[in-house]
Amino acid sequence: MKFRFKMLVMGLLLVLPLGANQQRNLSQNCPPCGDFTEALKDYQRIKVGIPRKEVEKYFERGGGSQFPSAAHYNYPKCHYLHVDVKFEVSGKEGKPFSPDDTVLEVSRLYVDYPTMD
Amino acid sequence: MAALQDGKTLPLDANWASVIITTNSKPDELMAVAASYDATLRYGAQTPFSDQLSHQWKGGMWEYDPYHNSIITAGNGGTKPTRAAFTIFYNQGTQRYDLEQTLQPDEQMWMDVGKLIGEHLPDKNGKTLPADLTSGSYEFRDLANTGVGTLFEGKVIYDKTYGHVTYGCAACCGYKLNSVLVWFDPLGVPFQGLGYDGVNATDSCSLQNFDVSDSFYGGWSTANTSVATVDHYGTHTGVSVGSTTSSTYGDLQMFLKSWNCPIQRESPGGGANVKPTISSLLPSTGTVGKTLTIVITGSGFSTTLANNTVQAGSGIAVTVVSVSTDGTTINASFAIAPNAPVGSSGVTVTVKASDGSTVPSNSVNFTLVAVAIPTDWTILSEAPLNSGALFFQYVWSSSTGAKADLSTCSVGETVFYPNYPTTPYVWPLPMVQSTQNPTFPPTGKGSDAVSEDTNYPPGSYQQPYSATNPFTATQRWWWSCPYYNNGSPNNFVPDLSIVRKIFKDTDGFWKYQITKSGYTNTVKLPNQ
Repeated sequence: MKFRFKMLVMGLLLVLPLGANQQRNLSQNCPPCGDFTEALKDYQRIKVGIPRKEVEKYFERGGGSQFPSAAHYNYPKCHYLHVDVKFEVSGKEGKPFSPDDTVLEVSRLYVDYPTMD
Repeated sequence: MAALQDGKTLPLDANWASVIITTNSKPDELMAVAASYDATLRYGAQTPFSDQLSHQWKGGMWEYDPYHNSIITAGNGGTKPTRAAFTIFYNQGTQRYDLEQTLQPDEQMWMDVGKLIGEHLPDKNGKTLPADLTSGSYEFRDLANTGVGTLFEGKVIYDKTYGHVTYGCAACCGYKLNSVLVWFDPLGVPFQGLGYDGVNATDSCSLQNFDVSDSFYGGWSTANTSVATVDHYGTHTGVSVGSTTSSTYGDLQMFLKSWNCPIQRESPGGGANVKPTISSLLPSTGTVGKTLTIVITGSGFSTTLANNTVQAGSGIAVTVVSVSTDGTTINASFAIAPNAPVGSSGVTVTVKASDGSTVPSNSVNFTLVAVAIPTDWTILSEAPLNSGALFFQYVWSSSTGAKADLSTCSVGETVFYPNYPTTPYVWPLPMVQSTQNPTFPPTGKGSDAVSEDTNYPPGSYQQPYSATNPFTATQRWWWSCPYYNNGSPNNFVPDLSIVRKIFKDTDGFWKYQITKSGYTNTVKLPNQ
């Protein structure tokens, strides 16, 4: 769980110096602070051993590169909230990103700009 | 001539004419001379006629001083207009003075060297001759006809001291005998592809090679059109893998000796080999001590398995396993010895043609490494999404042939935005978005089957819309293995550019556009 701790701190710091455009964007796309509890609840459903299809009920894959063994997710109601997940791939030939891949490792929920590439 | 200058046959004020004498006498049996004398027949000058035309003349020496002057002339002896270049060389040939003039058939250009010097007349580049210049050499060139030129020339130097007029002959610059050759012998022609050939010849004056291909247009042919064909201009097409010959013919002014550059028919030619072509190897890197299947993609491979031979570097034993029915793919087993030398070497496919000849393909590099590494990063698929995003799938190979051998390697991307390392990067309005600079998403494993990559549009747009300069994000795909170069990252491919912009399209709508690797997605901005 350590591999995203640094980013969590950095992400929180980044919220503070947002320019006018980003503040507007946040307010347009993200829920009020109280609603973050909903994101936390959904995040807590992501546990080691559950299949990918369960993860993707609550989070959606973000932009940029995604690998079967490691994916980064956005919270659908606020793309500034993220979680990174490592998977044990199911090994089914010709079916990468299988819904049956199981979670190996989950990062902390963290705040950062969306990955756009 | 004076008798003809009666105002009817020739104008009274004419001071020059081109004269053509036609005879049915044998060569060198008749010598024509033009002579001009004053009324007393005491003063006069003579000059022989010449039937020599050339694409280039070199002459010397002209003189100009208070007692001498030189008049140099060239005329168009052809039947079509041509462009003539006249050059004076001076200061031991280190300086030049250039004039050009279009000459109609039988028209002449007259160069009074004394006038050019004395009146400081500029050349085509604005350069003037030095006022104290007294001698030099000269050259005429036919710019329109390089093979068989149409220029004749003459020069007179008159000496006021004793009233002498001297005729000076320039030398024609024909092409050297036996110097007329095709560009390539043999010419390699890709199967179902094109091979371009032409003709060079050596100029006898400068000893430089010149492209005289246009004198050979229309003369091209191949000996075996089932192997290769050739068009009017010498462009060959590979019909089937094999060997044949190709030749052409054309007329050139050849240099026999000074003042003798007759037109001769030349017939250069050479071999033409239609070759199989390798376009790629997959994987293109192998690990020593491993045996892996290499997919050789190209064209012109024999559909008969036994007629294909694959050559690879030292320590690699190759077995051709299969060939596709269209001759575009060979699967070959590369058994790489444990002691095979690490580094790059060439791979070729040699095909035995139906005529029995063996024709090798181009050579493509195959690299040997000591350990298992990722290699051959390629686009598997691409799709423009309705959101305005570009979506890619990428795949890569293992140098051992087994992706599982890369389980400890990492594969990832880093994206650098403008003004790096300043972060975040705020996208230009009306695009409303900011990104970490650089962006460094979580990495995958070398053993992963695929990577997906979505390049998104901004989160929103701010009105009123306006055009932006395109901005470029630089995407770097890399891999690292803990046992290779101390785990340092290695680029899969040269950096990719992701270019985004807002523009007003010809239909009047504002649009967002993204471009990467030659793929583009364009979407209309909302609320228009």
